[in-house]
Amino acid sequence: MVSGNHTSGRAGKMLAVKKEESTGHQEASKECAFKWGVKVVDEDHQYRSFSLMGEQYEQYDCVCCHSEGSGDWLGKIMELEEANNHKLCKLRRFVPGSDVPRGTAGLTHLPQPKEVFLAAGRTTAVETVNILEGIVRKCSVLCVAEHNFNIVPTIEKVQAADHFFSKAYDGDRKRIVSLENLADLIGAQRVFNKKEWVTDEIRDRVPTTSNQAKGVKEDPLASRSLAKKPQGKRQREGMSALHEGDALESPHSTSQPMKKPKLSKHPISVARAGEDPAARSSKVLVPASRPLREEMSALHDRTVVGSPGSTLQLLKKPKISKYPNFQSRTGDDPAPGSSKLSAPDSQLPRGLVQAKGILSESGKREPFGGKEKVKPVKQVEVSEPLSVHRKEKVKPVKQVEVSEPLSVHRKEKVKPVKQVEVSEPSAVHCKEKVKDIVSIYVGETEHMPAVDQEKATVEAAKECQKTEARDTAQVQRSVFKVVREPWESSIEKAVRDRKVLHLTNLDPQLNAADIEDLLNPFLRVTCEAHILHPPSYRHFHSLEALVKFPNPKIAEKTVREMKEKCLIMGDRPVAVSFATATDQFSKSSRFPGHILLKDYKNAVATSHGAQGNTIEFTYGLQWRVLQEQQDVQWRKIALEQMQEMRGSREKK
Amino acid sequence: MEGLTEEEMHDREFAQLVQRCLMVDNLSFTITDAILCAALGQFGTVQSIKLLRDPKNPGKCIGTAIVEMETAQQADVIVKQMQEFLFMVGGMPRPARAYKATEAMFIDHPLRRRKSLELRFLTRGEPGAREAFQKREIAERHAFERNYIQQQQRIAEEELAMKQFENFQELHKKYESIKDNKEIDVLRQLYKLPDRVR
Repeated sequence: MVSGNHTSGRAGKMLAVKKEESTGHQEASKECAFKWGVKVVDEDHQYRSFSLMGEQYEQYDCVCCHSEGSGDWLGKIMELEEANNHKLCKLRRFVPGSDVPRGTAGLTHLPQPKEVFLAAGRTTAVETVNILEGIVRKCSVLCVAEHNFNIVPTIEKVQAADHFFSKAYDGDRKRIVSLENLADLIGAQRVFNKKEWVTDEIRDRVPTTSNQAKGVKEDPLASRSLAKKPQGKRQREGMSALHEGDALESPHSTSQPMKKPKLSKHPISVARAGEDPAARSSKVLVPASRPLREEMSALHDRTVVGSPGSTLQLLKKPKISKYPNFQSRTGDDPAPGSSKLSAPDSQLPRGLVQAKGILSESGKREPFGGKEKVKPVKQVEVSEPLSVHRKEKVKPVKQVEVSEPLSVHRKEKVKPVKQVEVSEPSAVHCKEKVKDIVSIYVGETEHMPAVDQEKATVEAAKECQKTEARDTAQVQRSVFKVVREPWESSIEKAVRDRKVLHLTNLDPQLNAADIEDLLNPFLRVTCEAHILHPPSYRHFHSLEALVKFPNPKIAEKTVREMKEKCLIMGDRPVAVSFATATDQFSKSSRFPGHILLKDYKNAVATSHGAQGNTIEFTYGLQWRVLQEQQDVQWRKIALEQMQEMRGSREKK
Repeated sequence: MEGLTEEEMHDREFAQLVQRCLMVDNLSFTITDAILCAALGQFGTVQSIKLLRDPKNPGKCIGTAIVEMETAQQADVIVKQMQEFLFMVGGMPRPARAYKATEAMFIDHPLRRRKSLELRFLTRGEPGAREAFQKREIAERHAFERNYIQQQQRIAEEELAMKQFENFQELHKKYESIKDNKEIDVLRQLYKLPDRVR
């Protein structure tokens, strides 16, 4: 399959060369002309190398190509041949990291800007036959995978190279595969590094007579035409900020000795207490590859000022508390644009202390539960997840956001704080806090070890008896210490398992904790509730909530009971149904209304007011009209629905 | 504050907090604290920001945030400015909107006064059960209507975005075609046009 098209630049040059030949400028034409190199043994029309425009290309070199349909792309020369007076090369493509979908199987880390994947597969256009004129220039793509047949380059080599790869992307099966199988299939030399790329300096371009005659200035790093980055399509809506973050991060991360890519679960830049960085293995030189979630959370910490895709200024996450009026401690870095984030704790409401992103009711950092002897959990500042020191037995605690309401009650002096554990619930909860953390999920103790399960069930039974004797919601709240999976990680599965109910027509003054306090003793289960945001915060008269039950049987039973009878909360009948996956998890994160501009130089990146003489103003006005229309719609619908409800009440 | 009970103190603090806060919506889903802080920091001192996230789709911001400013006046200024002018945050040309916060917006806030309600089951045949079941049906229909309107609004937004994008593409193409055209100078001199194309 011949897929190459003439590029304007290269083709133009070739045409110019032909014209020169015709006019008799033999010297220049000879120098610029194409010339085949060494032939393949026993093959008439296959070659191992060629020279073009004074540059030497060999088999298995990596090149940058251009084609009209797909723009610039990287390829590895597999074969060179001449057929029907056409100079052809078979190139195996490199897939840029940005082209690999985020949820691809086998993708253990967020691809770095320089990272590419060698194409693998059978049916898709993995290897294409192109004309040689489609090659723009040579580039340096090093393989950093560990293999018997691969010489792993040094950190400096990888940094100096244009790109690197350690895995292959199988477009047929849509997954990341290792290079071992590919090397077995097509040959190691077609996949891995050449010796001269890694051990010696990359061949400098010898000043040729043609260049001297042209008066071309020899760049001291001329051999580093390899160092030039190809003009690939890197930016994407919403992803550019992340890539920028990586770009600014990678020089720092690659400067340290790195871990093997197989151990990518553990963040490389984690400072292990007592560990000598120099003692770490420097064998594998893949830049820091962290698990996707940690990368995302770390990158959220290093957020971007300006619009996505714009000239970006990376900032470390300002320590802005997640909820208004919760000011950070003195000494914390102030957020950009704000200066007052250092109010002493005494100014805060009674007992409410921001403890590194988690609110605890006690000003003295007393352990929750009051009388029970519990070691206070050391609060770790999650805005720097990489600084977790495992030797210190610290639980990384996720910052609490709206979806994780705090069970703080103003009437109580000491409050249990709902902590959402992020990692390894079985290891953390059971080993460290067996005595006080008791799971009383009915039938759900599978994430605790067997030995502890017995203890847990016995104690749970005792607790259940105690709670039945108590009527007040306050006491029940303090007793209900449960081990729960984080909402974020469990909600999707819980909805599929039919453990989540959707309640509507709730009182708008209710909190999620109120709903739990009402439902838990009433239904005699332990459920977790989250309030859904109303479509318009300015016009709403009722709330909806998702309530997650411990297991599907209880949820089924509850739904049946609620439908047969009518659950009245206050004076409102509550409508209930199973939460469905179809309307819940819309994966599209595209925000309609932001146009991504290709030419960033002329784009205004920072937040600004639109000026009247710009097209942005015209478009913005159209959006403003639409927003006002939507506002009117919500106001009207809220009013009508309220009247209908009242009307039915009055008819009563 | 003498003579005030604890509850009253909390209420007062909460009321003061609400006055200092504003709600910003029509933000991009990828907006972050820092971007918003930098955007609104032009008007005053941002004390704290809360990006509202969707419990159905964890990790995804719904494009709305509650922002606490240093003073209520600063919050008023921002609201007024963003209502009068088209303020672009994190992208263009969809402008963000701001309005004064109300207590009802602070769902799940710890300072918000908690409510305890009576909970009971009503079986068919009991007094008031018929009306309760009717109201429940009405509530279900209302939820469906809200959902439908939301979907229709989303469709309208996407249509407008697509229309603007296509229009922008055309204009951009035209601009590109005349940008480096030297003949434009002749026309500019002929028609005495300002030098804006470059």
